[in-house]
Amino acid sequence: MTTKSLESDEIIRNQSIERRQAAIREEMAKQDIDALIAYGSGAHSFTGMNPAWYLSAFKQLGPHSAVVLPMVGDPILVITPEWDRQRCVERAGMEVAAVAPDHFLETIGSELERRQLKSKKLAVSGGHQQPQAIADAWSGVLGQDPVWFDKQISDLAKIRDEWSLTCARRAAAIAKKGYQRVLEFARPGMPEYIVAADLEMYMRRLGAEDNFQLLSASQHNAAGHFPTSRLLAQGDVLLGEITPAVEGEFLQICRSTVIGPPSDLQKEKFALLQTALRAGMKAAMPGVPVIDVVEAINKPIADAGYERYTKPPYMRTRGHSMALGSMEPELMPGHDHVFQKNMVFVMHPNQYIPETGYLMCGEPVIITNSGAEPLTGEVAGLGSIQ
Amino acid sequence: MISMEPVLKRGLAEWDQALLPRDEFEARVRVVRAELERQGLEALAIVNYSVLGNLGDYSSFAYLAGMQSGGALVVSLEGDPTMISFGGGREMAFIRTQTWIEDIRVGGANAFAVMRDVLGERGIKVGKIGTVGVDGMPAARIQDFDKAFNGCDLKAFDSSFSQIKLSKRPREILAIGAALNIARNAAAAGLETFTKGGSNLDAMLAAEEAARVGRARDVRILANTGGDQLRPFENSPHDRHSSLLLWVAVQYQGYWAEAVVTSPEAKGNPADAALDAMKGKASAGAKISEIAKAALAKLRPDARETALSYGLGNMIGLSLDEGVEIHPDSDQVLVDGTVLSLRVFAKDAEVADFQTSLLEVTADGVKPVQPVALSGA
Repeated sequence: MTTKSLESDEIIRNQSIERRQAAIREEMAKQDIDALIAYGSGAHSFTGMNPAWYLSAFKQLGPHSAVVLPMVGDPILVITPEWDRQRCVERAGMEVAAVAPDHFLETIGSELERRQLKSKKLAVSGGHQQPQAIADAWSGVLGQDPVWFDKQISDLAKIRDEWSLTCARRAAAIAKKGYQRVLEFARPGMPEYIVAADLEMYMRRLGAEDNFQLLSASQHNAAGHFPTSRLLAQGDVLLGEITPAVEGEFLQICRSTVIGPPSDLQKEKFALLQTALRAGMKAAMPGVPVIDVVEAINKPIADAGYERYTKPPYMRTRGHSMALGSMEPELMPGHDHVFQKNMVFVMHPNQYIPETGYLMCGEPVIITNSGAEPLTGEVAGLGSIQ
Repeated sequence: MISMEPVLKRGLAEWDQALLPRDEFEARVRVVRAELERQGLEALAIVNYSVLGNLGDYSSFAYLAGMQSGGALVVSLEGDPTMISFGGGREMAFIRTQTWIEDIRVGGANAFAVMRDVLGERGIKVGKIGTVGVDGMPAARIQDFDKAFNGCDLKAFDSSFSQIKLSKRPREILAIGAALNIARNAAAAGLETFTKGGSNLDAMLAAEEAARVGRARDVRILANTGGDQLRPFENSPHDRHSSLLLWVAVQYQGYWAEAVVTSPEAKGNPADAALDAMKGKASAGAKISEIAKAALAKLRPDARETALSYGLGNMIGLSLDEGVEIHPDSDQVLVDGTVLSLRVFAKDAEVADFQTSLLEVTADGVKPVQPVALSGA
């Protein structure tokens, strides 16, 4: 990455962070809240929102961090451990307090006191990874039962802004290149974990700082899983959930690759999943409930005689958010999420088919007025390593 | 040592039966049962509420199941343990390759009710049950657990289990040695890259690649990619600095080990001197505060500050940090059979030096954990 692009990144990032904070302040004003503590857990999760990360764009190293966002005055980012201060100062465009983990809560308390906010109305967004001990401690630290503010953060974060999309598009490019690398590198006789390691390091060198990756192969897969030392063999189907992260924004592609030429049966069944994915993308328009899209994805599969396989344990979900700011949308029954323009998530009719085993076919998409568009610019094909 | 937690522990996932065979886990179960009986408990319920790769503290689950995963275990005084998966079932085929436990059931959203059913099958309807990991769950899940175990006399067994895990069994020392071997090879790969003119970031990448190819399940790496502080990997310019400070931690079969590089060698080797001072004080029963003070006494004031900030070390095993910290304010003593990862990051205006040492605590002092080369790696 050039110095020039780093500078332009910084401008986009800082502008987006300012807009995020301004939008949250608008929500705070509606409830007369004087300050928000947006907590972040260092137990980074692919499926758990991190409010501190969202309001700072800083990926924490230590177990705890928080953005203290007052209605009036500048925010402060409290991070752990203290020795990570310099990195934080360079990357986060706000005042920083870096402390040892044991001093995290007392530092939040003292910062609120310093700003004479302790007797004011306070809110907390803890996110999904907040330890119970921290959740239990807020009342004591703040001297009041705070207003819980996760929903407001999630509602804002689920609509991607310029910085989020910049990172997501960069991650999509890395994921595509990563899969191309797999096609070039993987060969019969190689252990799965060596292919996984090569892919991991290839994408790291392209700038992916983290990765949610499952990579495994079988003649008849029951599901995707972590890599083992099994050797790739002719006729195996190599499954890959490849999810590089750029600045904390994850972006997933799901791929199925036959070691050797795909059979007509494999082509036919994979085409069924492609049809399902295209149907889902067409249906996923602003205002449409997720359950309608789940049904659109399931219909061609059910029509082909596989209705029982459109449910667990043969699949898990038809898609999900990958952003650490919001876990919406989740494309499965029981979720009442509604699609909105500029939501980004992975749509994946990954599932077991009795004749071929489990297959993966998924793209990261963005919701537009005309449906979901793949950030990769393609719909996954059935790969082949000859 | 604090490090950047990846969202998924995605390296080689395999049960190494040569290192940790079935009879090792059967022996561990016997040890746990003896303590259950001593406390008048009829069974143990272990919960590791980790879902979709967000792997929390897996140590208790892995100690008995042999795999690093979310899930639940039921251990009664008779019969083999039962594992209950939190997934919906598609994961079962893979799980069966990763553990010695044969009775594995799909729990999904009803996992706690399945645990109770398992106890019922063993004739324990309303017994006195030890629990591990329950307090680590979100509040809503704790309520679900309590509801499923309504009528049982539940007793937290976490502290007792931690004591059992603290002193390492011979095969645990071997597993830590295997992780140490991978970590040292990774550190050596990083050093080689730096020595050949690579940047500090290049050294990090070379180390991670060596660890992953070397069969690591999880890898954590920090290096001085910007100034003298340790940093995680970031997409930053590949500047080469005059020195390399590299920390590598590797997990293999659930067990952790650390290795470091300081290149070129620091003038006066202040970190080595502090490490030697700690080793000289360390033995079973030794006060941890005295060990820490011995290290600090060897360092100049600024270096003392950085050493304390990064930490002087901790117990290591199925967790990178088993929670017993080497600190001058500690009121604890070293326990026989524990494995100690001592660490000194000494930096002042003149020098930056970083060293570690992995040691087994005995009544007579400490002895280095030996690296174990894996066949076929």
